[in-house]
Amino acid sequence: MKSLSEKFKGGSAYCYLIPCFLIFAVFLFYPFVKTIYLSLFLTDKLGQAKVFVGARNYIELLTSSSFYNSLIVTLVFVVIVVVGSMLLGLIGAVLCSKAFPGIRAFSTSYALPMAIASSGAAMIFKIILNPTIGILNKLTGLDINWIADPKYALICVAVLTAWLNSGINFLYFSAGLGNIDESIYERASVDGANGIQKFFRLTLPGLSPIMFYTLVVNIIQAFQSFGQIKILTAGGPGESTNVIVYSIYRDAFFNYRFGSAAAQSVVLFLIIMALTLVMFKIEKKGVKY
Amino acid sequence: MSELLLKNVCKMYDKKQYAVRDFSLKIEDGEFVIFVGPSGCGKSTTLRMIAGLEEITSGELWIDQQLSNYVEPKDRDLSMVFQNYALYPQMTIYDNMAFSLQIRKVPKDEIDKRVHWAASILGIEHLLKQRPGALSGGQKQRVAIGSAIMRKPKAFLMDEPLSNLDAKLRAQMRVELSELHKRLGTTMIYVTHDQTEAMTLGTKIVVMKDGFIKQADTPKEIYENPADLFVAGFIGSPSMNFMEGTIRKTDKGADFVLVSGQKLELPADKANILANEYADKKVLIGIRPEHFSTVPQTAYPEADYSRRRLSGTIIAREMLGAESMFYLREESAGEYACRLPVETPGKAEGTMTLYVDMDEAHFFDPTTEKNIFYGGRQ
Repeated sequence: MKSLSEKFKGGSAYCYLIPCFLIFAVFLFYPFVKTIYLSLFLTDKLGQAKVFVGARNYIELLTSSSFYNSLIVTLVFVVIVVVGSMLLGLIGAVLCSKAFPGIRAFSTSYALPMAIASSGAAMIFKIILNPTIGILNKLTGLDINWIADPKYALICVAVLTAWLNSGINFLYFSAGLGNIDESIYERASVDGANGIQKFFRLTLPGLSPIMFYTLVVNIIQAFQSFGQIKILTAGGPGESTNVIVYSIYRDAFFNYRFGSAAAQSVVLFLIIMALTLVMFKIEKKGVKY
Repeated sequence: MSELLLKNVCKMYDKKQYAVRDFSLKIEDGEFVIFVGPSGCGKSTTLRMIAGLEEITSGELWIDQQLSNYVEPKDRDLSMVFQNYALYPQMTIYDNMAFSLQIRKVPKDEIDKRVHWAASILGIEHLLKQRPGALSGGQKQRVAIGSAIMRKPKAFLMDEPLSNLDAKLRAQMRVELSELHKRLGTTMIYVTHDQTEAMTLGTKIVVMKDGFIKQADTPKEIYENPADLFVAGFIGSPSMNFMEGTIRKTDKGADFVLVSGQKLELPADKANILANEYADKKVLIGIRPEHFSTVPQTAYPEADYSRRRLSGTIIAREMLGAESMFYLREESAGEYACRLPVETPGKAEGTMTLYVDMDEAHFFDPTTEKNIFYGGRQ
């Protein structure tokens, strides 16, 4: 039997959680439930549910080639972004793990992308990538219309996103490197290991716990990229950079098909959740000590 | 054969502060050399310079007739045991021990043989599949030593390897280290601040203070013939008792006179020199706790033992089992410790008179702090 005071204690704990739950309810739970609700309806231009259609939105989605294209584009985009941003962050962090004059300037510049608004960066990249006045073509001597060419557009937005996301990875990896005991490197050098051996045998395994966390966050972040795509390519040329998030935006606010957009949101949610669950399962086996 | 030679090695931090100064030492093959001294005396820095983990500011380091100042640590062919063990946390104990061989691309069955050989010497075979996080301090210690003996390096460097262990385990590991040295015959350089470890393990002790070598010699020499006040006080536990007094010439030879007027007759051989050079001057006398006794020493029957006595008030008495430590106070000599047989009567607050073995006494110049008779001077 629980005493009265114990029961009260349990109750008071919920009291403390109320403010947090209120915010979650307004900004998270309500939109989430509403999205699922909308995905089962045809809507008017204001996004009000009008006709119940059951699973028709989903069936249409799964039979449309445009949606599969979006899926593939998203997948390629996510792979480039995650690999690129993690590599950039890792290289930056390893380079800045040694003390040298001017290290602060370097670490600041590696972490800087974190503080840059994605749309602002996209504007800058738009100028850099401009086929006639852009510095990239000028420096390389190439004559490529980066953003308008379906071959390069996706790579361009992916690289931009990778760079934008690398700032936070730099911070994560720097923290992770700081946690590795300096003396094991000393022992390794006396043991006869060279720099590359130390990196692969000590640094990478030592980063594995934070590496996993970073990977999960990066994948989710990459799936949700929007601002830079909207400004740089607007999903084009054709459908070549039409990632799911952009497709949702286009369906909802250009085509006013809120039902279909909601259905895509639900699918995107399911994909990210499934990926995250799979990764946590792997993590239990893979990450040591 | 491996031989280490350090010539005037200096280490300076921030271009103004010396951590090690003019360190010159020759380490022969197979020696067990101990660097001992209080914290901050530069002993670890010296070891790290030998390992190549610290840059040598000036001076020369020769390993096997090869100038090694600028040789990378990985190419020096040494192995090192760190104070905090520095085990690789994500590797199993097996991989920890095998690491130095794996990166040298030694064949797998050879590695396997050596790991099991080292593990069996240290009694850690059952731990090979575990990770360092699951091990106790003593086990980690063994793994660290095991990893070090996997190769046949030119020398083992050990940086206070026993300091994180409890007293009992430390004593046990001390014996094991000593046996290991006999078995492997490899040169060992060992850093410690514990003078007991230094005395029991080393074949050569290097006593350091403030970055300088104070004395480098065998444990016996260091103990029986300390070069100066610091070495005399640092080596030995409890440490040597120091008393200030004046040398007075007598018709028989010379006396050491405490401020209180109490006299201690000097042995004939030392009396001459002291009477000539230090007559009516202040000197410091150093007497080890075991050189007090309740009965006169019989080795020199002709000496007048009534004039080699010191009395004092007992402040405390410690029972150590086989013997007792007495802490006495004499008004001018201050406090001093004596090691006496356990059955010696005497309680705190009481007074007692003890005979001093003056032949074993050391004399120090109070201004230079040097041992007046250092170097076999008679």
